[in-house]
Parts: sequence; structure tokens; C-alpha cells
Amino acid sequence: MKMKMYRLKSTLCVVGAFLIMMMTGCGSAANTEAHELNFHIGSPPSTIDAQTLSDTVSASVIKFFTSTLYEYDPERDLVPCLAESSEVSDDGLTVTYHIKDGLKWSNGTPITADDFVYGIQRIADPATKSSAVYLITDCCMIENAAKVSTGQMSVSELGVSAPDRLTFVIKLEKPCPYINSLVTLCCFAPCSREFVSSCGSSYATSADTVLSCGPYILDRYEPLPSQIHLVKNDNYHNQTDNGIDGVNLQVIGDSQQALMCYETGMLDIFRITGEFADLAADDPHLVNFPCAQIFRLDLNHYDNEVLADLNIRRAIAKSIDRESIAVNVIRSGYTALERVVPNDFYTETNGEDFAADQKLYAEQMEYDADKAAEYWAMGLSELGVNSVKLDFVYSASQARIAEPLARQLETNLSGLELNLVPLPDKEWLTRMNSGRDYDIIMESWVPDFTDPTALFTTCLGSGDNNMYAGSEFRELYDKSGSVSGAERDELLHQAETVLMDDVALIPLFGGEQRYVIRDGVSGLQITPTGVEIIISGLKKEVG
Amino acid sequence: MGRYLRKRILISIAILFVILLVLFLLMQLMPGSPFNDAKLSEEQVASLKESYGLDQPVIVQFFRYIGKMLRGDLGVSYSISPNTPITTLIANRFPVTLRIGFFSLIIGTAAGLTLGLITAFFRGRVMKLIFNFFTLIGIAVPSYLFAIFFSWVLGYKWNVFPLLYDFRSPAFSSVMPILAMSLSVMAVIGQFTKAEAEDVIKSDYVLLAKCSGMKSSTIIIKYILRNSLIPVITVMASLLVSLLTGSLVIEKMFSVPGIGGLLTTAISSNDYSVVIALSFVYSALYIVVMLILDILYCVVDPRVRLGGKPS
Amino acid sequence: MSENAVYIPADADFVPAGEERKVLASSETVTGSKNDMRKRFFAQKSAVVGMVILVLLTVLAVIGPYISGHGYDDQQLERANLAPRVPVLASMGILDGSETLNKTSGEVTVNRYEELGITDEYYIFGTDSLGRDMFARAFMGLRISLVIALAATVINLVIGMNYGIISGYFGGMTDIIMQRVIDVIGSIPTLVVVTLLMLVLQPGMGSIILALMLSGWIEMSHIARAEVLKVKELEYVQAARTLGAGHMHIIFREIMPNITGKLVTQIMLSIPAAVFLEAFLSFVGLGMPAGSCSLGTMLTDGFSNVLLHSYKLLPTAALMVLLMIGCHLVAEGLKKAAE
Repeated sequence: MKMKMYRLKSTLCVVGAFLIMMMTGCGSAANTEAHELNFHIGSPPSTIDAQTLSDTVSASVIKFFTSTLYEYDPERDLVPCLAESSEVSDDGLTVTYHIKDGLKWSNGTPITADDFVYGIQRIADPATKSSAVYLITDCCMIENAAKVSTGQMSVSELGVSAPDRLTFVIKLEKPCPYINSLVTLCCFAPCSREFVSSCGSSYATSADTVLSCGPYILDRYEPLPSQIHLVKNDNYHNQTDNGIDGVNLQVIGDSQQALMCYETGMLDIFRITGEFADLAADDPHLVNFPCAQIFRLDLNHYDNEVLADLNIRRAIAKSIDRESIAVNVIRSGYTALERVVPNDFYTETNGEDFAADQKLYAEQMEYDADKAAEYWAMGLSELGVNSVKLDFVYSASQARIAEPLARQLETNLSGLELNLVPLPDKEWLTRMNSGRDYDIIMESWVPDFTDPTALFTTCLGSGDNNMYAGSEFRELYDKSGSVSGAERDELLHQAETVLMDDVALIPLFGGEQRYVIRDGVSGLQITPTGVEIIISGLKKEVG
Repeated sequence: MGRYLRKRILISIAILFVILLVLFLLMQLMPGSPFNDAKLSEEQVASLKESYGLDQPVIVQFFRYIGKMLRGDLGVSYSISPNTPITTLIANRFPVTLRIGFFSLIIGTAAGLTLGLITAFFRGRVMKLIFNFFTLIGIAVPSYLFAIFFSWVLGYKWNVFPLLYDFRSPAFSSVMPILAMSLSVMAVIGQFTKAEAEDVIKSDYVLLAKCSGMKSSTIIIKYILRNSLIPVITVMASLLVSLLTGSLVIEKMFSVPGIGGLLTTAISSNDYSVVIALSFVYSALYIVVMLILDILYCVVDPRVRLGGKPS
Repeated sequence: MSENAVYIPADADFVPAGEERKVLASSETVTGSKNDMRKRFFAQKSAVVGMVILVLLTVLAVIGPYISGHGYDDQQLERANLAPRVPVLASMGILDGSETLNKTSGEVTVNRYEELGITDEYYIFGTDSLGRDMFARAFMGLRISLVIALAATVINLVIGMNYGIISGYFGGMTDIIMQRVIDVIGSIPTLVVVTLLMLVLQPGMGSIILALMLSGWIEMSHIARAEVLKVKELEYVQAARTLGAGHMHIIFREIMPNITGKLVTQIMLSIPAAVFLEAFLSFVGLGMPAGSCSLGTMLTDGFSNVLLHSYKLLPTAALMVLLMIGCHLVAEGLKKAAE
């Protein structure tokens, strides 16, 4: 019995000691490393392979360790980064980039023009299964991209080449006036052929299997991480002494948790979403950036005969009190938007903001319940029905905005019954991109580049869903690809007018990103599209 | 013993197969497609389907699936982390979940045993009140409410423990998740121990031990603790289930990189290959633990062997 | 157990055995023991408290949504996020609709009722982010959660009880096969079953009930079977059988009344389990569809708002905890009364 007692006691001791060790183990670890930047992202990135990415979260992570030919500087101007300069041929079909000399990967090997060629070839290669293919087949049409990506041609026939070590040439099928804005996307970053082949299928699955050409090196990463850690890249050509030796990206799904972390000092920058704006409203550390993150309703007037009626669409457009939802429900991050292009997004050739006048399409879009009821009655009588039932599709994570919106529609348009269909993000995205698989869908996305056409593309459909074929809009859109300067701006204006007159889509809210920043951290800025923060300007002083 | 064990293991294997079949059938019913990204062209979708073997007849797919599962290949994630083998995803996370679950179980059990034994032995009014309060709270409050409460008080207001799991200090940052999960364990174990201990205390042999002048501490440890422990083993199975469920919520709350968090992420983004794989892992884990508990039970209480398996 | 009192024979000890058997076989004993059980149940303070809580919650779930004067689904966007304001207390300065915001730049106390000029309005639990009355919503949520839990439990009861009785009563091969089926189903963790089911089905009340049902009936059937096995061999059942009573008669008249006690206890344990699971599903994002309210959705909603408006979580959480405590106390009381 004494033996047993002893054994029990010793077991207890071991367990106790273990517990104490665990509790205090590395206990004194500080909340923040003084020279590290602590930032949060809302969900884990789905990939760190720059050439395959399709979501904004992955892009914002990848941006920390990749650089591109052109980049936005802290003033939001487009400047050469890995490129020294670029030139476009007279017909607009050949773009030549001269690459800076002496660039190095994080492992010390030089970055050459061939790395850029390989990067784009990887996007097009069907074996990569990249979801960024549309960037080179639709957004800018690189020669043979469509055929290469479907396997009808070999990768070597793609219109990208490297005549010498520092010259990178892209051949296009159609002029692309916004190509420098497009190449700021991480997908167009260089990619080392040697390194990828040495990693094989494990490329970009861990911190060791990815190379950095940006200001930081991935230090700790696992697929679907909850935390990502980066350290400074000494081989980066434009390394500045900004007081940030490492970056700690914490995945926090819940804004409340993120705010708590910010307030207890675990985060240096907190991106405010939703109602938490109330808590930071008069904070001197608050910064506010307009961005092109937009919400809009897309009406399927191709398959749904109710929505095919123009008066019905007009009625829906005019029955939404955007202001009320923006102020009372969304509370931060979005302002009412009544035209396709938000302000501060695209600057015309003459230097003016394309969408300076946000009330330009007030007649079609402004909230007016009486007018809406009038259109509605007209529409219903044209259709010869009293009530209408429509599916309203939205992302479940945006239910907060979609529900009051649906309620407004139902209240203002008597006889309308909306069947709410909240979907998980992925499925909602599929429906949205299908362009047809819904009656009404609430879209929310960020354009890939700063050109009005980026906002028009969803109205065009892709593949077999060739919507607006042969219409006035299509004509204007196609024409805008072959001209430039003021003439092009005029065509884009006309195209927008057509869309608004036809109520092909109903703009709802334009984005705005708000951050609160801890003392000592400065230089935060985001790209005009709002996809990612501009890293080059960030500084941290330890006080 | 050997016969019982063999029978028990055979049944477990059979169950595992049935589960595989069910999971496979469910997989066929799942809504959505693995290739939700409509930015993919149709040709790409076709080639993807081929590479995942989704163009084969269902029967072929099923046998391939079983074969893969048995080889420990759980397939690849379709959407949350495209093309990453699920085994990799789980391998990184399983130890974390296991550690937090293990410590929650240990701490909860220790606290529950202590609380139950003390209450049963001293039978004071105040003690009973304290006991009832703790166990009722532990049973009636969902673990995520504990989690938010701890986050709020310990993490946010007092800033004692970090609000989130941090790989730079894994032990220290797991304190709050463990606390939040161990409370319900404590409550259940506490109630069971108290009920059992009360019976044992009333029994003749304890009375005899008392009369013969044994020290209270000796009585508690030698008779009461040992005899109350047996039925506690039976609760372990249900506790394991509640810990698994709890881990889903808690890991999400504290950003713990474990399999619970992985499952919630997979659910919300409809990555059904991951959901199915994790369901398999959870079921297998559950069956194995049940088997171990049964064997354990059979060792401590030989009567079970005669009567077949306990229900 | 071992009281040292000397046993004094009573008159009853000398009644001929035959008569005692007769008494046992009649159903009077059953009702008699039921009355005893009721007495023993109500003799426990905690059980009575639990009972009162449950009755109160049920009444509130029925009438609660209507007594505040605001519909549970009436949106008034400009009245979003009002703090609780209670009629009498407000004049005393407690719960008068003001709330303290923990701003990043310091604490600020605001009273949105005054800002909006609606000081004659009272929202006892405040309003949610769409300006809906939280009082009406909380009790509506309670009602829906209770309906889900009750429906699931009743179905579980019917399936589980029948399964258990048939398995136990007929025994032999029937029993073995039925028990193996249960072994398999029971070996899949509830969490997995529910998650998978919710992924396959459309989210909604029906699917939640089905999901709860698929896993909940097993425990019921275990209890029913165990009791049947015990009761089956008792003399009065044997007697009924020898007298030529049919299976149905024996099951429903002789066995059923004896297992109700245990089953009621089990019901009391499965209701909170169902409510818990519903809340859990909502939290993971598999619960009731958008726009509807249940304790789960309300908790999840309030949960993400603790830092900003803690009043959104507290009442719902309190309701949930009360429901749990009530069911638990009653179940405990029943267990003790049955012993």
C-alpha cells in the first residue's frame, strides 16, 4: 500500500510539474516583438503560389514577399519597381520591359527576364491549374494565351519572350492601355524556373519551397495557416531601413477578436469592419482610404422574364435606400454608390476623376420610393401579373447587408417576394461568375486593375455566356480597346451610360477601408483597387 | 479476455468500413463542386476532374477511395488550400488539438475528482453549494461562452494571457483554450465522482475502515478514489465527444491551428473532401478511444467480460 | 443501509403468497408507485426550482414575443443598436438606455434614445443591428429552439423506445442484429453525423431536427431495451404471458408504464443537448437560415458584439443557461425520485 501511495504521489508530482512547465514554459514571451510588424488578415490564404492565386487574401500575403515590374508607391502612383522602364509599340501590341540589373532572389541567384517569361507561362500552362488564367486571356489578351491555356498549343508559343537577360517582351492580341496597372498583380511576378523544377510538386507548400523577390522572406508558413511569419529580405534591391525586421500576419476571422488584440497590443494595425467603426470613430489613429471594393446587385435579365422588363429593373434600382443601409447597418467601410465606377478610381487623360460626379445617374439610380412604385406598377401591368417571386442570392457572410436590402425591396415594391439564398463564399462566387445562375445576386468584389473596363467585364459574361453580344454596349466596349486617350475615355463614359440606362446592374456601395494604427507605425497606404496594402511605405519606430 | 478482445476489435473494423461507405455515399450527395472557381475554363475543369478521378464510375471511385484511405491517403483539399494533401493539413494540426484536448481532459478530470471527492467526504452545506454552483455552470454554459468570458476578462481586461494562439509561445498561449474546455469536463467528472463517492462512503467496508481508525486521507485515496474511478471511465467516452465538439468552437475563437479549426474552415467554404476526410479521422479516433476504454473497463471490472460489452 | 434497528414483523408479512402476486399483477401498483414518485420528486427543493424555471420559460416562449409591443421581425434601421431601457428603472437612472462604449480612444457614454428623441420608447433588452426588438426576438428564439428540441426529442423517443422495446422484448437473433446496427450508428460521433447532414441538406428547421434525430434516439433505445430486459423476466409479465396475453398487450400494458420514469429523465437530458447542438450548429455556420431567429443564431450574433454592445449577448445567454439549469435540475430530481 505504501508503494502505491508513493507511486500515486509521484505521478501527481510529475503531472503538476508538467502543468506548471506548460503554463510558464515560454511564458514571458512578449506580446509583440519590438521590431516586428503585427498585422491581421481575415482568413487564411488559400495559396502562396503567386501564379495560381485568385483571392485577395492570398494576394495580400504574397505581396509581402514578391515584387512586380510596376508597383504603386506610397503616393498611390504607378512606378517601375523590378523594371527600369517600359515601352509600348505604336500599334499597342508589343510591350517591352527593361529589367533592373543586379536583382537577386532571396537565395542569391539573379532575377532575369526569363523568370518573368516563366511566370506568365506558368499561368497559362494547363498543368498549373491556375485560376488566374482569365488575367492573360480576358483582361489583357496575351498572344495565344487562350489556346495555350486549353492545351491546344504548347507553352513555348505563348506571346512572352526574353530576347536578352534584361529585356522582357509581351506580345498582345489587342492593345491593353492599362497593362502597367495589371502587372502590379502578384501573378505577374517573376518565377524561377530552376527553383520550381527543383521543388517539384511541393513548390509553394511551405516556407522553404518558395523564393522571395520582395521586401520580406517567408519564414514560417504551413498550408492553411493561422499565423504567418516573415523576415527581412537582405537581397531585396530597394531595402530601406524602416524599423521592421519581421512581419507577423495573424489570421483572425472575427473582427471583435482582432480589435481586442489591437487594444491589448498584439496588433499594430487593425482593419476596421462593420460596427466596430463606432468604437474607433474619433480615434486620432484612424486612417481612411477609398478603394474600389464594390457592392452591387446584378439582375439576370437574360433568363428571367420578369427581370427582362425594363420598368421592373428601374423600379428595383430606385427602391433601394443606400444611404440608410450604409449609415445604419454597414456603418463603416462602404458609402452609397450610384454609378458603376466609384470616385478616385480612374483618372482620365485630361487629369480629371472619371467618376467625380457621383450623382450623374441619379435619375436611374437615386432612391425614390414613389417613383419606384410607379415603375413597378407599370412593369407588373406589362407582365400582366400581380405578384412576383424572385431568388435573391448573396454570400452568407454578407447577410448583414443583404437582409435589410431585401426587406427594403419587399417593402417598397408591393407584390414582390424574395426568396433569400445565402451561400458559402465559394458557391456564391461560382454563381456570381456564372453571370446567369440566379435571379438577383448581390455581388461584392474588387477589380483587378484600375480601369473602368475592369468594372464592366461582369456584364459581358465569358465563354458560352456571351451576354450583350451585338449590343450597343458590346460595341462601345470593343471599340474602347483599340483607341486611347480622351477618345477612349469618352467611349467608356458612353458605355457606362448604356449600362445605367438599361439598369443592367445596380450599384450599391463603394468601398472604403479604415484602419487604426498604433503609435510609431506609419506610412500605411493601400492600392487604389484596395486589394492589398502598399508595403514599401510602412515604417515602425520603437519608442 | 482474448476472445472478447478479438470480437471487439473485429466489430470496430467492421464499423470503420461502414463509416467509409456512408462517407463515400455522402460525398456523392454533397452540394457544390470542388471546382467552384468559375474563372476556370471548361477544359480546365475537365482536366481537373480527370486528375482527381472524378470521371470514373461510382463503384470504381468507391474502391479506389477505400484503398487510398487504408494507405493513409486522405486525398487533397479542393478549395481551402487547393491541391494540398489533406494528410499534410492534418499532420500539422493534429498534435496541437491533441495536446490541448489532453490537457483539458487531465485538468478537468483532476479538478472534477477533487471537487467531487471533497464534497462527498465533507458533506458541508457550503461545500455542497459551491459544488452545485460549479457543476451547474459547467454543464449549463456552452464552452464558447466560457471562451468569450475568459478572452474578455483574462485576455482583454487584465491582459494576463494572450488572446490568440501564438507559435512563438505555444504553451502560454494555450492556457485560455484549455481553461475554457476543461470546465465542462470538470463539471461532468465532478458530478459522477460525487455520486459514486457518496455510495462508497456509505458502504460497509469504508465504515469498517473508519471504525478501525484509519486516517481519512488514506481512506479517501485507497477506497473512495479507487472505487469511484471505475464508473468515471464510462463517462470518458461522452467527454471525448464533447471535447471534440468543443475544440471546433474553441479553436476558431483562439485561432488555434488544430483540426477543429480546420473542420470549421472546411465547412464554411464547402471543401467537402476535407470535411469527409476529417469525419473519417474523427470517427476513427472515436472508435479507437472507445475500444481502449472498453478494454480498460474490462481490466478494472472483470464482470464485463462475462456479460459481453457494456452498453 | 445497515441500521441497527431490530426487525419487527408486521401483519403484511403473514399474508399468503398467492394474494401478493395478485396485487402485483394489477396495474394499480404502477400508478401507486407513480404517485410516490411524484411525492418524492416534489419533496426535493432543487427539482421544484427546476420545474418552476421550465414552466416559466415555456410560458414566456409562448407569450414573450407579444408582450413588448414590438414585433420580433420589425426592422427600423434608424433605431439600430439601442441599449436596454426599462420603464420604471429608467427614471431611476438604471438601464435607461445609455451605454458605455469602450472606444479605442477611451470610454464614452451615450444614450441613443435621447439622440433620437424617443425617450418615451422602451426596449427592455435593447435592439439589434437592424433595429429589431431584442426582447421579442429573445423569446421568439427561445420558442424556436424549444420547438426544435421538443420535436427532435419526441421523434427520438418514438423511434428509440420502439426500437429498444422490440429489440429487448423479442431477444435472440432480432436483438443481436438490431444491436449491431446500433453499434455501427452509435460509433459515428454525433458531431460528424450532424455536420455531414447539415452540409447535404438545405439549412432550416427541418434539417436541424432531422440531424438531431439521427443521433439522439440511440440512447433512448438503450434505456428502453435495458428496462425491457429487466421487466420481461418479472413475475407479473411472465404471468400475463402464460395467461395468453398478446405481445402488444404485454408491451403496452405491462412494460410501457414501467419504463416511462427513466424515459422522462432521458427526455429532460436530451432537450438541453438538442438546444446546445442547435446553438453549436449556428456558431459553426450550419444552423438556422438567415433572417430566422433561434437561441443559437441570437447567441452567435450577440457573441460577435460583446466588445461593442454586450447587452446583445447577456439576455439570450441567460435564457439558454436557465433552460439548461432547469432541465438539468428536473432530470436530477427525477433520477433521485426513481431510486
